[in-house]
Amino acid sequence: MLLMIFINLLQVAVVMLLSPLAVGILNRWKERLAGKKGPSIFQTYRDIWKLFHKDQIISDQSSWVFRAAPYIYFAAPILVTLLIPVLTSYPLFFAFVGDMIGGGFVLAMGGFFFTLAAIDAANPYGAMGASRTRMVGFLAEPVFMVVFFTVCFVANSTIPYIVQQQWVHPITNFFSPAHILICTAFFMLILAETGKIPVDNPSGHFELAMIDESKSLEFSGAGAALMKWAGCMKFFVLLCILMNVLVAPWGLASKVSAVQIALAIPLIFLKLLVAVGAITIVEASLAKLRLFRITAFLGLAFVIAVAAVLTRMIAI
Amino acid sequence: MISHPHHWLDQFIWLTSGLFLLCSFGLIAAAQVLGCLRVYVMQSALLTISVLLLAARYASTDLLAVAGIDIAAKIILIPWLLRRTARRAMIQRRELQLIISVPMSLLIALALTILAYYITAPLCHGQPQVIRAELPIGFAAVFIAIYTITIRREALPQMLGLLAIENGAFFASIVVAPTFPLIGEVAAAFDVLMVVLTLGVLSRRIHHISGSTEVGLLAELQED
Amino acid sequence: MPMSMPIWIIWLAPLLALGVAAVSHNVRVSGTAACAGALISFAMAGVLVFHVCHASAITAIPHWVGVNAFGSVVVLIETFGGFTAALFAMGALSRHSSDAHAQRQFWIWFNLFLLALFAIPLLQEIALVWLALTLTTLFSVFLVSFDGDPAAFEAGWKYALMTTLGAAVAVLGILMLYWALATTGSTDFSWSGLIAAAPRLPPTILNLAFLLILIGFGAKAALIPFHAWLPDAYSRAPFPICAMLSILESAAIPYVLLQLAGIANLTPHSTANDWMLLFGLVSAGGAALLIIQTHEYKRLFAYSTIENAGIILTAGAAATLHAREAAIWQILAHGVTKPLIFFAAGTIFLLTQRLRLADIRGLLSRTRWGGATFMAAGLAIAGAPPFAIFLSELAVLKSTIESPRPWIGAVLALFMIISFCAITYHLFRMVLGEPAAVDARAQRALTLPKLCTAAIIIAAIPVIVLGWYIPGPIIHGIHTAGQMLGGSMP
Repeated sequence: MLLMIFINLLQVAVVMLLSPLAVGILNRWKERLAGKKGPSIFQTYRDIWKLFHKDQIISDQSSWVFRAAPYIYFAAPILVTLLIPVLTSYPLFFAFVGDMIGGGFVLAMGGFFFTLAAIDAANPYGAMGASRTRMVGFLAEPVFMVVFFTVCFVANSTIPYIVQQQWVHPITNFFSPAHILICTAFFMLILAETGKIPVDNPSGHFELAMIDESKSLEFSGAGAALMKWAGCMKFFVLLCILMNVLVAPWGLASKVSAVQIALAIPLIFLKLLVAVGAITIVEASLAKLRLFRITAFLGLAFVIAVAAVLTRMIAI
Repeated sequence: MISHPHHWLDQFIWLTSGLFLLCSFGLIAAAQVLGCLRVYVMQSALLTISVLLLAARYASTDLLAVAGIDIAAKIILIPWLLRRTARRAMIQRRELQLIISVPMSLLIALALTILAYYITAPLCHGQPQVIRAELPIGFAAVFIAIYTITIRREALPQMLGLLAIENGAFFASIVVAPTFPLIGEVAAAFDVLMVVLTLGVLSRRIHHISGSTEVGLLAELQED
Repeated sequence: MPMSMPIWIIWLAPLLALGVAAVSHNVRVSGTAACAGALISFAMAGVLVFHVCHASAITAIPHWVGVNAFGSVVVLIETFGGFTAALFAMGALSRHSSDAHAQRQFWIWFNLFLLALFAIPLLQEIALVWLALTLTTLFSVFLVSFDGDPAAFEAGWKYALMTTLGAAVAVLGILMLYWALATTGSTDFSWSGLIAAAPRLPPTILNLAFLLILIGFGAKAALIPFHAWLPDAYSRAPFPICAMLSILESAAIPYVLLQLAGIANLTPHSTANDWMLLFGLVSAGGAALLIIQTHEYKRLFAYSTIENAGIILTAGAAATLHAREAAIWQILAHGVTKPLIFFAAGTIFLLTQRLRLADIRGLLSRTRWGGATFMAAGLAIAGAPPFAIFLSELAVLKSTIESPRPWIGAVLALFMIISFCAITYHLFRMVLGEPAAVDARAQRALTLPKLCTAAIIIAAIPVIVLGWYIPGPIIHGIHTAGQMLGGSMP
């Protein structure tokens, strides 16, 4: 019992502590691929640390939403962490509290408050970024839905712990077109949701071209630190869903034993590094799309997801 | 329903067909001429892989020869011919315009895919899994390619759409008719090359005479 | 001489002419070679029809090359059209502004086109028939855009794109057809193989295959609603090429479709006739309406080709022996009349340099012979007595009214009347009355090249003769072909 609680806490701790590292590695690799030296992989930790030690300035025109938003945005990925398999392939305490759609809602709630806060501060760039984020969000939403429904259709369940086993039992499922198509669609979604190239340029410094970054311009000090950290966690959690739930459950602990759990942490991290590598390659080789081409990008993701349903339903 | 024995290659054939469908969507979404060509070559490569898998599954040397023809004609000769006959149109990097926007087109392509499944459903009834996987996707590829031709304005993407129809037709049928006479395959490959050669030369002349390969802009001939 | 010899000579003659056109730099030599080649082919086609009259089918290579009664009639039409078109083209080219290089290319493409066109009824393997049909498009693209101006290239592009698209759809149908054949355990993908396996072909696959082939080749034959390319291609292509395209669309392609429908009819639950009826009636009716609203006489005759293709398919779909015979008769009558009308129109264009109907008035008062010929040819194509089409259309009407679905005949009669009225209306306005205000260009009193006149006279012979009398071997050929399409092996 105690061990179970410990595992749950460990799961949250892994997400909180390793997520800045994943983002740091991504930034480093991207620069290396572009032929530059790149920042240290621990740079994200330093950034967050630095921001926590700075003063927080809050506009007196803003409301409680602006003050609450960082905490809500920070809490959302932690809640989702409790719902999904990060380290173990067997369900933990909260596994049946919410399913994948519930997890999606929790993440969306965080995003919703982030967007509200961006408008609340009355910075024109914030409102612009907010409206653009909503546009991407609206387009991404149907894709999320179809991906989840396909997954549920295959597994007869919406609980991620149960879904994950489906792709490798029997192993032929792993090579089914539905699986590959779903993974492709979800990968495209992650690019859109976490503001990566070709949807958004996370390292751009030109406010007019920003989508995601311009929303956090008004935050400072601890608020900005929480926002940055939460962004890393969201990225990490989505990668966990991709790699652990959708791609394959390999490397997860299958028994309640300390050794297996201890082994799982580096294995999971290695698996995520594969996904980070893929994103690095995409980011380094593509250019940012024009705003109005984003619809084409997400439209393609949607079509891929529906094609997955089709091939699954008819060719099964 | 009759149950058919599963072959261990079936899953890979199934996977190839999924990717083949993806290439058809890519043909709509590709924004540049070179991109269209790359998608087409990728699609042809998937067709070849599927033929090779079927050759292994049915232990057929004929299909090996078909794969050889495909590689020679579609993966090597056609890109080479196109680069030779229409080099200038090929390498221009401007974004292509579609008559109907990409997201809308993708949705229509999706509807066409469903239509393909609907049409082939009576044919697939009681057939082994490989047929149920490849036949509808081949039909879908044909429909989507026809649709691509209607929404493209440029000469070369239209021509690649034509070639993609042929790809789709053979993808649909190689699994149901693996014994199709080799002479037919040679005829089709020959025809594809002739199409590329003739239309390539024609598009180059159009480019030469009107300064553009946007055949969609040609509207001189109209019944008034 | 073995019975199959004429088949090889029919191919060999244009092949030799192609060789001459490829090496010779003298355009007149190439033209003469093409005429001579087509004439030899025509003579051999006549021999073929005569042989088939006795043997009902001739095989050169079993399952690959051979000809049946229907095919021999079609090849006769094609070779006759090829010969007269070559003659007319030689005359018209002497007045054309193009340089020697372009004209040399013209003859190369022309002979290639003839080779592919003659191959369609002479090949037995279905995949090769498809290839021959596709090649007719690819070889005629540069003939259609021969004028070399942007409009000609536009027409050529549309033509090539739409017909190749049709061929690509047809290939899917052909492959499905092969699947249907393969399910019976047979791999003999020839006409005779299909007929032998026909009763065991699975109907669901066969119906889909036939529909795909009908749509694919329908796009190539410009059946409505796939006719978008046709008016443009015809209005830009040289007149002899229009004549050849007409023969391709209303003889060669209906030949393939009717043969396939005949096979499909041997299976239970075939929907082939229903689909063919639908496309046939829509094309016949739509084209009759299009004829009314057209503004160019070249397009007018192009629409008339669609209409005739529609009539042929409708008659074939009526599915009685007499209706099938009438369909083949219609193929023959229209196939010999179309070259004549395009040549007559070609002389009008040579004399007036105008394409628009509104620009041409009072032809009779300007050129007596030209006007009269055009008038006669126009009446022949409209279906007036005493010309060939009058009799064949009458046969079509009679047989369809006697068929199990007599309403087909009634609807067809309505369409024929509409198109007759429309064609004669345009025709009378062009030929009779006062000449419109003429400009200097049209004022030039041009005489016709002698070869053009010769082509018109030769082309007129069968139009008049077939209106009175049909030679025995041809009647026999039509009868055998009609029986074969009904499924009974001769």
